[in-house]
Amino acid sequence: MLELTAEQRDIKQAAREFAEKEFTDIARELDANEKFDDNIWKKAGELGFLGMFIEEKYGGAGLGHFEQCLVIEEFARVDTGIAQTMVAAYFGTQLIKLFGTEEQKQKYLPPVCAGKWRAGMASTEPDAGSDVAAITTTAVKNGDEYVISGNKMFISNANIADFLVVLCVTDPQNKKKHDRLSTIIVETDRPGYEANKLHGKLSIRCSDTGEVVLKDVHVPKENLVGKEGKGFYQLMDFFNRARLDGGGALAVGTAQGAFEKAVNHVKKRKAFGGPLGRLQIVQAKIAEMATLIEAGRSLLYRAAQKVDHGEVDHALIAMAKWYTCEIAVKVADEAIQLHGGYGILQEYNVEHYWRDAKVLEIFEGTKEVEKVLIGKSILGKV
Amino acid sequence: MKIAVCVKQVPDMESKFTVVDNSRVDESQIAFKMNDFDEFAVEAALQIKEKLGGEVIIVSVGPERIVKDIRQAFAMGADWGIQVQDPQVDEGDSFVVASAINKAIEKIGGADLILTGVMSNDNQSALTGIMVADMMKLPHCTNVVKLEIGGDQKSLTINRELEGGLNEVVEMPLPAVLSIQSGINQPRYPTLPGIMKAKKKRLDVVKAGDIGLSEVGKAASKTELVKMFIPVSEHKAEIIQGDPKQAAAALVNKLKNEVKVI
Ligand SMILES: Cc1cc2nc3c(=O)[nH]c(=O)nc-3n(C[C@H](O)[C@H](O)[C@H](O)COP(=O)(O)OP(=O)(O)OC[C@H]3O[C@@H](n4cnc5c(N)ncnc54)[C@H](O)[C@@H]3O)c2cc1C
Repeated sequence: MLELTAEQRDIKQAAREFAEKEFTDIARELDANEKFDDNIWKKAGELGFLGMFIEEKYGGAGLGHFEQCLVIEEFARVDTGIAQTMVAAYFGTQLIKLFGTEEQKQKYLPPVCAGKWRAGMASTEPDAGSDVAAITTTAVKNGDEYVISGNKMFISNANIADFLVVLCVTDPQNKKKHDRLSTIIVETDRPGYEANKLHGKLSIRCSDTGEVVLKDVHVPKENLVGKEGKGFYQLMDFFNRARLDGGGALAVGTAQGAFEKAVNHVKKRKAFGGPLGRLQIVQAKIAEMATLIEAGRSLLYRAAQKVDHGEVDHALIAMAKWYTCEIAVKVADEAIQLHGGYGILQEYNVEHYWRDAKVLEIFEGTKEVEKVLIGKSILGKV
Repeated sequence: MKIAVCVKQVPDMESKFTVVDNSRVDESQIAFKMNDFDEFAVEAALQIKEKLGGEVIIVSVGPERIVKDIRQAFAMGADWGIQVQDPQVDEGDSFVVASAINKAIEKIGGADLILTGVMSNDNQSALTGIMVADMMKLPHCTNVVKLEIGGDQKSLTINRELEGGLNEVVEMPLPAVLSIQSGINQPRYPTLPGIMKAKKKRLDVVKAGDIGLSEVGKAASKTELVKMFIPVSEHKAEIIQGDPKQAAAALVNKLKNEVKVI
């Protein structure tokens, strides 16, 4: 099942070529300066790499989440930060694809796929991260509008997105916490929208992350995505897609990139009368790294292909997200270890994989939360 | 305008090269890709097509594995292709390959313009384009870094790159064969819709017999491969010791009289 078709191989190859040619020379500079080069994003849009799972009539490629994973994996192999900015550019469109109205799909999806608009999804708040249902941002229905107020935290593209899909409380009185929420599109040029950039990140430093303040932001009621009160459940369906490329594929690519650096290094670096790679402990490390990546990749590919075949296995997706992100940290850690002192020097171009890998265990569902999901699905209510 | 572009598949030079039997490279360890210079030729053809209309046809000689790179050219925007897939042709040298290209182009009814890369990354003989032109009795120009088709579409103005950054401007009639130099343009990336369309594009796969090529293999080759080997690279450093003044004088002497660089 995991053999790629000729077309999938071509897509992967095209993504690799694009990443190697476009990312390599500028990745370190963007990382150091917490800056991004919009040309890369625009080019990726022109080539069709953004939102590939979106139907052709809305500007996508009509392919699967699996193909999107192949592309993001190749991007992350060169640089996780740039790869994450690509994921972020269409982050949230999955919600519109799944639950949006025809008008919303026509309006918001094509410019995102074309690399003209940036999307985003804002759920996390200063006091509600993993505990999604604890959010307090409110959307009050007022005639034909919602009036939205609240604070969001750690929002990708907060300062540069054209619109965000925002998780809000629309039914605060509902007895069931999970039935109080709705997802609503907020264009970022609306009065009352404010964002501040978060500086000094350890990981994905070229990607914009910010806090958002929503002060009585008026949006038309047509901006509601899906059904009122279903926001929490829709968000879970969303994460069952977004975690594949925005978690697993970033992780597998990051691990692969770090691994290749390590392999190159141990072939060249001499110690004890020969290349490091001749030492059996070094060979064992390389073997373990390769196996972890292979296992993670298989898990991810299977989870993604199942989604594309219409079977959303949320436990399998959670396994893939947790496992790939954990092995990305492990593999990147060993890659530095095998470089010895050189590993911690920026010049050797391997330390960034480790820094970037770390955030993968945190966003799109922390690894602890993924395990909670897996455990619950196996044990049920005990 | 009907443009034929010759595309060759070459090893990725980052691959590991191991010579087997003193005569060939172990292919199992090699990743293959489209010859860099041919990518520039494909791009040049696509740009002409965008301006003047017509079609871009990929002509390629080699085994099954080259289809991936033909598809890459399709994904960039080429219209269709012809592949001479025949082990007997592959056994031959550049002359046999050029003969196959000549016959393949004849088979597709000729072309108004035939582009090749200036050379291939692997063999670097820079022969194919010239030989194809000779076989087709067409004018030819190498090292093309700029090309413009005349308003009548019957002539070309070309910049050829010469040593030392000089350019030579040449006018020539069409049809013609041009060998394209790197840097003439920036080859486009295949787009995702391009990749998806590529698999549906027509590729005629032919054998030597199908295109009327009777002389193939080693017998028809003009060259003989005597031996292939990886030369041993020697890193020799000579340290001149002793009194600094005398050492400096000895160094100057060597640079002047032995290495002859000053
Ligand atoms: C760079 C970056 C970009 C981001 N982009 C976005 C974005 O675009 N949109 C968005 O909405 N959010 C975004 N986030 C937020 C991210 O999703 C949250 O940081 C994440 O969900 C964790 O929430 P928290 O930070 O509040 O940590 P907390 O939820 O406070 O968690 C702290 C620790 O407690 C653990 N924990 C929490 N609950 C449990 C439990 N039930 N069982 C066991 N352990 C538990 C967690 O695993 C974690 O280790 C981003 C974060 C970062 C760092």
